[in-house]
Amino acid sequence: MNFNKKNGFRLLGLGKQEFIKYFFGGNASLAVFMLILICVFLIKEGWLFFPGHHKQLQTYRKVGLEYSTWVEEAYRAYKLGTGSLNRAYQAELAYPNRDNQAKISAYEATRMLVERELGDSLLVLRDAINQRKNESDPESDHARKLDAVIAKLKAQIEGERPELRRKMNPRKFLGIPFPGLSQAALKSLDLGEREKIINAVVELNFWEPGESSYYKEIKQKYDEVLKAASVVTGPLFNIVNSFEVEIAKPLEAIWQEASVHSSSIRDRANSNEMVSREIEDQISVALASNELSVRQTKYGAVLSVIVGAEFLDEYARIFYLFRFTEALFALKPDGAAYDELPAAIREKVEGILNGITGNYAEFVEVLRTGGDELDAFPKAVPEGSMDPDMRRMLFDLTRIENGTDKMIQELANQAVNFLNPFPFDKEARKLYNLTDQFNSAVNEIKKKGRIAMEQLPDPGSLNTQVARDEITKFRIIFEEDVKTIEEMGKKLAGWKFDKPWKWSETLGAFFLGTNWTTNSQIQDRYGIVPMLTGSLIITLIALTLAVPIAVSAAVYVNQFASFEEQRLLKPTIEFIGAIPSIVLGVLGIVVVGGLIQSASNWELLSWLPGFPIEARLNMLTAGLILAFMAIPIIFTLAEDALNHVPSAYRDCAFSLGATRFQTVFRVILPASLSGVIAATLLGFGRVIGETMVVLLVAGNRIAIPDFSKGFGVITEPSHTMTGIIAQGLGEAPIDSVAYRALFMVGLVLLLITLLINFVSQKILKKYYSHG
Amino acid sequence: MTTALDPINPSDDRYRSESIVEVSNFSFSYDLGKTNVLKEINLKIPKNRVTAFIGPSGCGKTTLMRCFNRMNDRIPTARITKGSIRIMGADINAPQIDPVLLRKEVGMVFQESTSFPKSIYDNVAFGLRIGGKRKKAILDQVVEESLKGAALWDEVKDRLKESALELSGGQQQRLCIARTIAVKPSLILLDEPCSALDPIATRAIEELITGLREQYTIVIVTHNVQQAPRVSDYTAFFHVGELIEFGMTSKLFTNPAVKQTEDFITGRFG
Amino acid sequence: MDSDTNSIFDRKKNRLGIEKAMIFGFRISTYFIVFVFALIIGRIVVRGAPVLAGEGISFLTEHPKTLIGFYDEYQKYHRLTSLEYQDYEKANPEAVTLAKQSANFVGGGIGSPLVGTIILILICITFSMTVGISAAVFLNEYSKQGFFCQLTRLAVTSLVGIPSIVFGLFGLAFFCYFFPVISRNTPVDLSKAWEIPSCWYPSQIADEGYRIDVADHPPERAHQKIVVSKGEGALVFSVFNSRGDFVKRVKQAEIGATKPTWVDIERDLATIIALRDADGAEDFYQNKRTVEEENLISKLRPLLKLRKQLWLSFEGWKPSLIAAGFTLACMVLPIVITTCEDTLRAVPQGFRDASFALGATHWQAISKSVLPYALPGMLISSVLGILRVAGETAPIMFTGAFASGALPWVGLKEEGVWKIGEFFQRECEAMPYHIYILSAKTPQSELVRPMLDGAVLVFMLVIMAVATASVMLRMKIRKRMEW
Repeated sequence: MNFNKKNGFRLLGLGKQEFIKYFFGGNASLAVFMLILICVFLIKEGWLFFPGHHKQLQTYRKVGLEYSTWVEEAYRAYKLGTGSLNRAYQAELAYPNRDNQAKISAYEATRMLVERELGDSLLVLRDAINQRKNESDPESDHARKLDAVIAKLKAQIEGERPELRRKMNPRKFLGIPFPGLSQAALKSLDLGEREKIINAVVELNFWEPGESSYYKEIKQKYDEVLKAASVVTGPLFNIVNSFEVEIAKPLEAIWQEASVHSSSIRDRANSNEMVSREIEDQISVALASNELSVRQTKYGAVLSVIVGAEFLDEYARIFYLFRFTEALFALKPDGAAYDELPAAIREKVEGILNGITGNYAEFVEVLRTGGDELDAFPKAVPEGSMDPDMRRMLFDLTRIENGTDKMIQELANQAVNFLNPFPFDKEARKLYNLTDQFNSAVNEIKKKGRIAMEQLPDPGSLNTQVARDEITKFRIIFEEDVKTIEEMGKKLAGWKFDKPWKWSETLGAFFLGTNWTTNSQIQDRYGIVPMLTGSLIITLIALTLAVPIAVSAAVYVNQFASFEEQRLLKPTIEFIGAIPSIVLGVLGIVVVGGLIQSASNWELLSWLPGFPIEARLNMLTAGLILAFMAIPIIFTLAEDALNHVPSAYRDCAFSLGATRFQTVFRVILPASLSGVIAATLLGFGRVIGETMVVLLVAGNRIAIPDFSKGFGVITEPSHTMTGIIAQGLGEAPIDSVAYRALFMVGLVLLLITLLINFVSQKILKKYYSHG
Repeated sequence: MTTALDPINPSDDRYRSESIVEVSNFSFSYDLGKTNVLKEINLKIPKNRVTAFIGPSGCGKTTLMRCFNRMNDRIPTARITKGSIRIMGADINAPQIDPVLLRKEVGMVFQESTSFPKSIYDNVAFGLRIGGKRKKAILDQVVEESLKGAALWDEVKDRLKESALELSGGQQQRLCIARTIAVKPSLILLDEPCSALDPIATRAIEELITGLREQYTIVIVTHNVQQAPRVSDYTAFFHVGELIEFGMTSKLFTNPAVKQTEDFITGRFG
Repeated sequence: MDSDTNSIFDRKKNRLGIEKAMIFGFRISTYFIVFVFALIIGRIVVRGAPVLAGEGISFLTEHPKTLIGFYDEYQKYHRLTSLEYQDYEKANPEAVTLAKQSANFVGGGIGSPLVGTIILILICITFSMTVGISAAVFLNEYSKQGFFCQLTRLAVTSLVGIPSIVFGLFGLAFFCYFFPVISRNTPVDLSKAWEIPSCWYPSQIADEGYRIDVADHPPERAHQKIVVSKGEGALVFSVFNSRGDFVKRVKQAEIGATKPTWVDIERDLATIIALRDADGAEDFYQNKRTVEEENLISKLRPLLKLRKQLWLSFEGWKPSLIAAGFTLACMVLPIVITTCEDTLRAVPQGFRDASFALGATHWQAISKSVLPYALPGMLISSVLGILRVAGETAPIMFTGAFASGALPWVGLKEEGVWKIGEFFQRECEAMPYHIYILSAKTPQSELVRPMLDGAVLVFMLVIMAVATASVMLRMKIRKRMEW
């Protein structure tokens, strides 16, 4: 027998079998290739972000916007401090007016109830009344119809009143989010009062809010008491005023001046650059355009010489020449209009076009001798027969005949200005001068602040706890604020417009930046920290909720459930994983957000941190929904891990007298711990990468959440890394810095998830190879 | 064949040991009683002796042993169709019996060494801890005693905190025995403890069993016909769910009463 | 049995009580999950079923339309599409309309989103199955456990964990704006566009009555040339710089969100010609143009013919059906590979050994004794895996989904010839994106809710059916695979 290999079909030295193998292998390598491609393309689109942003930030410093931002920061820091003084004042002011305030709140709550109950009827009624008001002919068919509608609706609303009154159970209002609304206040409204409120509301919705007599009555009373109160709180008001307005005034003025000046530098420098670029563009277009090649051969040489020599005066002339010939050319193919021109003119034009050598004098000469005939030129061209822009140009050019030299001189001067570098140093001098003013303002704040501080009332003499707390707080805060402002002053003194913006500063602005603003009047900032914190907090909320539930469900299903239960529960929970995230997002925005917000107003739950919730869409809501999304993933993986624990462990633990519970907790769970940890990590990766839910539900406020609330921070709205990409990418022009910034965020997200995935795979591998 | 039952002959037993397990008319099924895998077993296991269960595969020896500490509870279709098992006088299948307490008295070591992925010390202390004993002094003492009892102490005393999975197969099996005796059970069930071990490790285990017989009652299921006479005082021979012969090992192996037994121990089937 | 009651093994009630309570806790948390799930399903069904019942089959066949809701003088609420409303106004010129509201894409049905989703899934399946199954065959049958195999597996597991939005970014950067295509377009060298007559500049168009928000174009951007067009139901601003380079195209989409797209200068400028009032886009696609428009187009054509010959340009596919489909395919590829590998692994080694022993070549062994048994399982499980991922919104948001009320092939028939190639370049509406734009509006509004609820229900029904089928088939296959 011969067992030698046969020489069959071969191509490129490969047999059929090898071909098949490499085909499959090539497809397999696509996975690797794709991973690399993803990284490469995120980097490709993202890496230019840093140079681009670096350049932006350099300009930001050069034009002094940085300076004005610092001044603003100082001012805001100061204002933030006095804010607590203001709160104290407001609390004091409101103190004697509790009753009235409660009534107004109750009124508002009732109004909401009535509006909710009457809903569309009120809406329709209001619309009908408005239309009736605008009706010019009061006797028209339409007007009569409207009258009928109004009468009908009024009757209907009247009819529903007893029903409504019954519904106006004070306890019901507690579900309505209204700050400062106590049950007592609601109870204080007797039936008659409620009746009045309904009247007021119905009236209110008939006409303008101010016209309701009852509303007016309440408002009037309230104003009176306010006036009386202001006498009591007068001294406090003076102090607050001096802190908030008088002391702050110089600082505010400096901020205003700095910001106005630096924006103007920016704008002027920008337009300067833009116009000079425009000029250069025009030249390069003229040189580069293929269509213009005919003309280029004629005067392009001259142009290039002139551009090279930077004889701007000459350039301006040639530019006009260029535009004029352009207009003539545009006219020429049109035939009819051109032919109608007097022969002499035509000859001259031909002469110019054919004989152009860049001799400006000759050109002007033609224009001059052309005289009236030349004037007839555009007139001969009827509107619409030629491109309007070109036509306008013709008009302009023929008019300049007499003042040609002057206009060209002007243009040349402008061009010189534009092509000269912008005098940043000269402009920055004004900002340097502001620093001294700033320092003296700081001294004033210190001096006047000390005096005002002595006048601050003793906390003991104040009526409300809020005011007492705030005043005490202010004493500490003010000192800190002054320190902050002084530091800012030092920073301002060290500010130099031409100090190079360091690369580390650009990197820091992205990775450590706490500010993400796009389409800003001042400067776009791309700091990832708010998004990162938002993503992390939401993920942590979700995991804190999901991991215990999912793991205990996995333990239950794996260890305690009967066979039938297992067969039912496992697919059901896995099913949840199949719900598209957009559906859960919709439920979040439509149902869950409102539900949690109204639940947070229950007094029963008021002890929870962050309750009652101010924003309907917040991190807690998003976390809840994401927790639900993470449960099936963690459950499935944890259940797998539990399954993987050798059954001998269980037998063994039993044989040692362990109860089922002890077996699970002391043997099986510890044995599968790494599997459960890996499941949690994978859940983390999934949650942090989830987009649609957070985009719809997280509230999308770009700011670092207020951690001073403690755990209550979870009820703040926030933005996320995934959310900012989904939201921003649609608005960012391709290849702009904002576009690239989003790719950088994507890159950070990719690296986080790859890392998590890698670590959890490592853990899993170790775990499974171990068992 | 049932006539071949050889109840414990008092005259055979020089030490007149009292019995710890009494199996009477015991039948057991894995499929809700359709077919019995154990058929009317009658057996008394003497206290402080080593009893070996031998027989060909599928004869029910392991099943019977697992009935002693109710490990078969976890199989949903398993049923006791007839008879009872009494351990230390209590009917272990009575409703009020707590299998957990039973298992504390009836320890079991499995075919494959099943050290938990914990340290050696934690493995041995496991049974005590779940029993609620937490005092370190007591634990230390018991761990040492148990490891010494399992003849493992000298080998591991310096690395008690290391993972038990680092130990060799034979050591792990001895560790399992140590873990079992740490709870001080009355009865230790060994389910083919040496089947996965090499001859040297097997020898160590066998020596250990011989040493343990002073304090514990041991039931050992073995597939290895030669092992039974080496370690046991009594031997029970099972075949297709029936107890064919039971008696002192020396007698059963030298002078079996039933032809089947003889065939099995001489290797004609099995 | 008297003695038994006092045996040492008797139950101690207390200990078991605590244990039972804790197990009960576990059970509660398990059933809590199921309960929440049931609540969600219940809510979706309760809200969505009346919509489906009310609209009937037309909800599935009609395309999204603009809806106008108002009360008439008898306080009856009307929900009319814009066309119906025009008819209504014509029929009753004196009619009273109160509390009038209107919203786009909330009337009609979900025909075009459904069709779009189906097309996307088909593209996705074609690509990901070919690659995924071959890759799985290679990994399981050919490769030895070497470096390459490990690398591939690492890549596959890593790809599974990558967030969908990152795939979206990748799709945008790679498929939309990089992928090499053979084309006539000149994406960069638009020096000719500089010569686009000024009548296309905003001032001129504003004069003609097209509203342009001047605030959108601050003075420093004045040098840009903005071409306003009405395409696909929304105003489109195409921005060129002074050189005529295309800067961006901004669609004034429904939700205020806008999308950048690569310019196809010919198509875009042709679209400009369709400067018409409402619903003009559809007319335009159906080649109903006015004489002036035709004239302008013919005038512009020579200007726009930029390049005659085909060339390989790295301009990408632009946001389009095919780009979105491929992005989705990239996302499902690792899932397909893993499921296929699992199925292949379930085929006993003996099958291969036996055929090798009979003298089969490697490929024969695979094709005759592995694939026939594994292929049905691979196909089913990977199709189901793909369908589940088809519910993702983020990857298609930028790569091809577009709020629209028209089918993607409308207007492809030009001069009696179907332009198939262009079909894949179209953007389309997809179910998840449709739901997203509905929910990103005021989802509480009564005008939007029926459409939203109905769409969510249909979407969930489809997804749930797929998931159920997936679970059941997996069980069946597993049972059959136990050789």
